[in-house]
Amino acid sequence: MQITFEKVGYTYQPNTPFSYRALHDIDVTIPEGSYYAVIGHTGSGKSTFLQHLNGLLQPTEGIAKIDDITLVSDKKNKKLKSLRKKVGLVFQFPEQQLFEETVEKDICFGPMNFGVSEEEAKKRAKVLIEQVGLTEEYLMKSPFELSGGQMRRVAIAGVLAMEPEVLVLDEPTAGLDPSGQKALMDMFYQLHKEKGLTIILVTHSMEDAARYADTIHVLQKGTTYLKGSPLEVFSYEKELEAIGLQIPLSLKFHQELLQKLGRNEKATSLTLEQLAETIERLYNGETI
Amino acid sequence: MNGLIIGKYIPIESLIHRLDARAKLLTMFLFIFIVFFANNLVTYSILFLFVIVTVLLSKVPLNYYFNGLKTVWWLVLFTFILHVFTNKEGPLLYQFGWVEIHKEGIVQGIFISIRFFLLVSITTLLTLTTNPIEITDGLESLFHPFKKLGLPVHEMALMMSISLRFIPTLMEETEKIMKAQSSRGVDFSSGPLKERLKAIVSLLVPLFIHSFKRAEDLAIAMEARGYQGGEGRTKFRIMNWKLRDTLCLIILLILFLLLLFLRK
Amino acid sequence: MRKDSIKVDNISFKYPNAQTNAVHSVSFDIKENEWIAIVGRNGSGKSTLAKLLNGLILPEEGQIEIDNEVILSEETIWEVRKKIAMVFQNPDNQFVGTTVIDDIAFGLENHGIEKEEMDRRVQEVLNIVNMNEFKLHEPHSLSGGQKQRVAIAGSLAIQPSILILDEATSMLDPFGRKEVIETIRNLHKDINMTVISITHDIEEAIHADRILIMHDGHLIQSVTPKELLITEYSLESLGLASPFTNNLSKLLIEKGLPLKQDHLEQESLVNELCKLLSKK
Repeated sequence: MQITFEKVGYTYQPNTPFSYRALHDIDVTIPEGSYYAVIGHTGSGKSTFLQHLNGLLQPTEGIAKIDDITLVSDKKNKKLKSLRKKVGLVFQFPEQQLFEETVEKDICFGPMNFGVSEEEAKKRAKVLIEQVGLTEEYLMKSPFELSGGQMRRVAIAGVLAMEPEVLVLDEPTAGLDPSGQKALMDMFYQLHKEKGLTIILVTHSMEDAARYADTIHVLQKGTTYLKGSPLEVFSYEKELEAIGLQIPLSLKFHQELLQKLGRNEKATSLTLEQLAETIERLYNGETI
Repeated sequence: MNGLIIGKYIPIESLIHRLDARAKLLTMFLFIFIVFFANNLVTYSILFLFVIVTVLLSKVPLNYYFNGLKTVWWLVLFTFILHVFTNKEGPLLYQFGWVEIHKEGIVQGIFISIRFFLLVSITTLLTLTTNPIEITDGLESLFHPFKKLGLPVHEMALMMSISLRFIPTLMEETEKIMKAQSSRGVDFSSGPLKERLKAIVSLLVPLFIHSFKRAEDLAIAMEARGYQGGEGRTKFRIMNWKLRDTLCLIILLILFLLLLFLRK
Repeated sequence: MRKDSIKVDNISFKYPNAQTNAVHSVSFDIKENEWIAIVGRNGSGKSTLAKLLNGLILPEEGQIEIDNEVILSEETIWEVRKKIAMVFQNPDNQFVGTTVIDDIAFGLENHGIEKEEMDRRVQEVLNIVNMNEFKLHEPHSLSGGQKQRVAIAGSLAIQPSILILDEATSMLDPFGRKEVIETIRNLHKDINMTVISITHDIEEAIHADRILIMHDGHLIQSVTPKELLITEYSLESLGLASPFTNNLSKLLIEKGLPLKQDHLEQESLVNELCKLLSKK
């Protein structure tokens, strides 16, 4: 399922003295099965943008098309509920949405709201609890006796249990320790590759965007600042610096190394592994 | 959500804004008391005039006052109708069947409506022109003498100011949790009763749990910052009683005397 | 010889209902104006240690001495809290006042400081943390980084000799984290504050003079930042991200390149690689 935004804009509290145009002129095409990274500071409009993806907000300008559902200003859309099942949205600090007596019940909550039977929901919970890195014995515990990191994983399982086709992640690793961050991002990437899940990731980490994304979309002051493949976007280093963003460390290092060696080629290492390989080949005298 | 709060504070420059919060609070309390002494056209007109003048002096755009009045119009209408149809004093004006409308019914109905108008206006005036923290400080100061009777004045004032500080934070959190649960298929606005109850539970449980955690963290932070209760504390915000505040109370006294003199 | 700011002597603590001690026979000294980072996984005891230093909980064994003057005990807690200030993890849950200046003044009110002195100190600390233009702002209009700077200002206002930061940057976005770390670096440099920072953030730890490593309630090592990079404990097991240069060096060494592993700056690694590759 494809997602297309045409000149989408959103104004909060229009026609009041508090009106605020958070988003404007947003054109987006997200093909099915792709990995789309959205980068932007607080106030750039990214959370407003995200909320359009599952119909929490409807554009006040332009048209948003998600699969066969069209969202347009002023027209109340009756298919919102089915949209929310297809597009799973994981908010920042999602552990704050846990409320059920047991982990199992909380994971089943989402799917059951969409008509999935209790039996089927429990089956999904069993599979997912392991997929997010916990064990079956956690299912009977109360979510509130778990650590922050464990609660986070339960919350994510609860969204995955809805079996969405698109997964929207708002800074999913915020506040986790480094090994926790890596485990989570790897899990999402695996789902993306194995199940063809479309992933839309909002992140501050240029490294993560470089490593996983097919397309990077940089938002600034409510509109598109840069958009394209990772190497394309990172070729605008000065423009990125102008809004306080850095290119990934691997790329920067590669550039500096090439410069110091007096070589002319363009730097292309998006990840640490790619960089190490490139340096190894240089060391072994191979042409790159 | 903005309309819910009757008369949110509007920070502009005006004589009323400059008055000490205590003077304004006392004015409000006394005015409410005085209103009940009005019982004829003259007395109500005087009060009406007083309110109009203070509203104008506050320089707050009138539609803020209308918003405050809007919230009670149905109550006013209901009371008016009640009086019209149940008050049987004075000459009979209309009659259909067993329903009677007497002159006094209409007159009293009008007077009661004006009373509502006056009370709501003066309360709205207070909240529009006085910073909530000033209101809290003012109340703490006015109630200070009651401390000797064992009333925990300082603690209550602190509770009020902390609650005020957290209202916007809690509202944001509520919105956030509602969005998260809506994303999981919860419908907050329609559906069978059982599902709506579940929806509310999915909102209230996280809110409560976070509030408890918040209270715990806050208590630890306050302790770490040396909070040991009200003893020995100094005050950062001080209130300055000026001549204009005394004049304000004197005007109110004059108003009261006028009313006593001119009422029926 | 520099004075001891804090002397911790063999302290232990167990939470009620716990099986084992959260903190076990820990001893260390911190000198005036040192910046100490305390690192370790969740459950290593570092947060408990922070609470012990501030008297929020009292050790069951051993003692803590502040400024070579006061020994921490139930009687001296309030005196200790004038010397040690603490900034907590959640920016919202320590912001008491309705505006920035009210919150900064809260600690001063608690300590019974006179109004004129309060005004002076509030303005002074606002300038130090660069929040003067926000002084009348309400907390919900501030970012996480700004709220933490206000918390730091509130701590500075009581003029402590020691500032403890308990994971003060872990709930912030990268921008906020940078703001706060820079504020602390300036404090440490300009007003000679002794800083203890309990952290997960390698960027924060790397600026410290010394790093204390906690594991399972024990203090297992005291190292310099450079030493930390080549410690036998994997940084990951300590809950820290390995710095980029470290990771790259490790990978390259695995691939057979003869490199040193303890570069703190990218530039020095680039230079070493250049020398290496130019030889070929």
